[in-house]
Amino acid sequence: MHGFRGVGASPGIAIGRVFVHVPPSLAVSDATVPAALRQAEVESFLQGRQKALVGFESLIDKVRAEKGDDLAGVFEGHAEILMDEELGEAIVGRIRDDGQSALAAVRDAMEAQRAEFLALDDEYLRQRADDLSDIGRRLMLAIAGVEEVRLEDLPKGSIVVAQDLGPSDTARLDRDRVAGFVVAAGGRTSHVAIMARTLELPAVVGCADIFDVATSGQVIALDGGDGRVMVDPDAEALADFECRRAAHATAMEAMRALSPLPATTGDGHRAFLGVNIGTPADAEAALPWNPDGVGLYRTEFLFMNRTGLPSEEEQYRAYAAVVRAMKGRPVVIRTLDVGGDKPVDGLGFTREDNPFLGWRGARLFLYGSDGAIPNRDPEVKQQMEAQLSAVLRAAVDGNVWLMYPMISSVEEVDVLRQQQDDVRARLAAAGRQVGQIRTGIMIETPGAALVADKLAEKVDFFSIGSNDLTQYTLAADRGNGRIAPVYQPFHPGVWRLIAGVIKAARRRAIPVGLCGELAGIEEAALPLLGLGLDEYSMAAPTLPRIKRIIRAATMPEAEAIARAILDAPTAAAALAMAGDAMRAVLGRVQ
Amino acid sequence: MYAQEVEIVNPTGLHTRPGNAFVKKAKEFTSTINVIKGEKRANAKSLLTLMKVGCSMGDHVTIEAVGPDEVDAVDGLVAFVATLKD
Repeated sequence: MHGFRGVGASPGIAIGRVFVHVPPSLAVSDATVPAALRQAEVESFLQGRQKALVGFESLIDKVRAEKGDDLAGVFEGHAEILMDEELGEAIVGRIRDDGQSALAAVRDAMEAQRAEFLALDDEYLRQRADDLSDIGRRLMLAIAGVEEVRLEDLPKGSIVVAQDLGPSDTARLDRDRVAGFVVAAGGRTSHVAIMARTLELPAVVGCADIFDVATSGQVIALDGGDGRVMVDPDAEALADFECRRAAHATAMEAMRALSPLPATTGDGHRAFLGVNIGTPADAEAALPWNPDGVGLYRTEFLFMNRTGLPSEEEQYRAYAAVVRAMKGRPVVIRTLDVGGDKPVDGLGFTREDNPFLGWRGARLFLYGSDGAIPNRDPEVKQQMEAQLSAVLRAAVDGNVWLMYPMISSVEEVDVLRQQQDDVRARLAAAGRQVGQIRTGIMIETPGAALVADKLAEKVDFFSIGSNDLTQYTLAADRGNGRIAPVYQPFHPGVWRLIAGVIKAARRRAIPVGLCGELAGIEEAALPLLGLGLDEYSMAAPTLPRIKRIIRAATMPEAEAIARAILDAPTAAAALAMAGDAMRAVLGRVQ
Repeated sequence: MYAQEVEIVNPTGLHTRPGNAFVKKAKEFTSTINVIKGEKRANAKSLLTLMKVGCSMGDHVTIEAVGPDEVDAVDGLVAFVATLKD
């Protein structure tokens, strides 16, 4: 029996037999090919490419028959890239002019393309970069004449163990035969992780040592939630996994049953559960979870898949699509929230020593390069007006709440509201139809949290951005692994700030939500409820887990655990108390 | 040389499937065809370079062709872009 710990990438428990998927290895020579032999290398590339194309065509037919036109279309795109004339010329050039072997030329040409895609700083194109590796690998195998491992006919109940899996691998898998994945490489956003979540198959990624032990045919059990993997488990461990598998299935069913029900406590207190989205497609995808609205619409995505800025019209179309999809439920649209760490093209970002403490969020609209307040730089001013106009127009179709991120002071709110009034007046003067909106701010700087009582007099709602609030309160970069222990979402200092913000909002009777990761952490649900939080906003699949806890609780219980957390000496103690309280509440209903 | 400007009207722009269809259409013509957006130029017959230009909904791009069927190519592709729906 051997236990491993990877990264849980797709929740669920799987028990099955190992199917080790090892892609054939390729020996690539970097020796210079003599001029006389280069034409033969070119021929070998062209023939290999033709062979790879035949492989893609049969994959496309198979995928079309089993999974439909959408996924088949993806691989048609891959086939097009395989045969791309610019790529082909680059490869032939490397062989003819640089004397590279066909294999080395393909490897390096693909890597160059990949690097270009990765440099575009665009989530969508980054994923395409991984596709390029996959296409390149298939092309190299075809040139080398190495047979692909057949993934189509693996035994039923297999758990695929691999170094990594690319799109062309997972597309060939027969879903009914795969029980789960354990992958040595990758993180939660790798292709196989996303694919596993889409297929609702349990998966563990980043399990680097799995190949030390696992061989095909062994019994293996995995927990895609906490990342535990057990190869060749003994009877006791196996029974434990089976027990948890059954419990998980029951829980999933209960969660599906929960989606039509409101998040109301046993004593009748109603909380609102919203979703975080980035695109109109996300809003559509969230509808089966029956959210009470959109608690955070990140408008950044509109700005990232491109050079230049989106027009008012383009923004209007996206915002209106989300607002309509939500059919009158509130949609909190956050104005462009980017900074120097991830600059958007065309707004005049310059290098900063501390981008997280720099020109970001609503500060874009506020502070000009010439010191002017508000910002009068033409590009930013134009973008601000385009975004506000698009939001005001989209409000005609539903219930829109506009939210400014990264606020530090009352003066900033005054300036932003004035600008917004100006835009509204201009639209009205031009005879454009605009809707009523509520205007709010994110509370994510400690300074804003501490003057929340003053800010509450200026706005219609608050949304606590717990990720940045934690990062700024504890002065800890979330992405810095070495100091990861400093970043503690349950740090009582963070919670005292949150408590103060909620109290200030309630005193002015304005709604207060929370849209950071904390909103989706089960242990945080009760104490946030007890502090008086009105709205939680999270990734759609998390909704039932939080709803289940709220529905099982009563307000006095929630208030008691909230008080206990504020008085906890450490984050660990706070988390332990919150966990105990949650389990006590859930234990009662199960 | 013949050129025309067109607005991208479909939500996914010239990525993925619409991009693939656009490239296939471009290959029906013998002229050299370029898609120009701002400073960036792409060979209309290469999906890879077209993706890197990143033609998204709302963008105005110029389609330019040089060759025996340049007018047909540009007019055909402009009309094609206008009919994209995905």
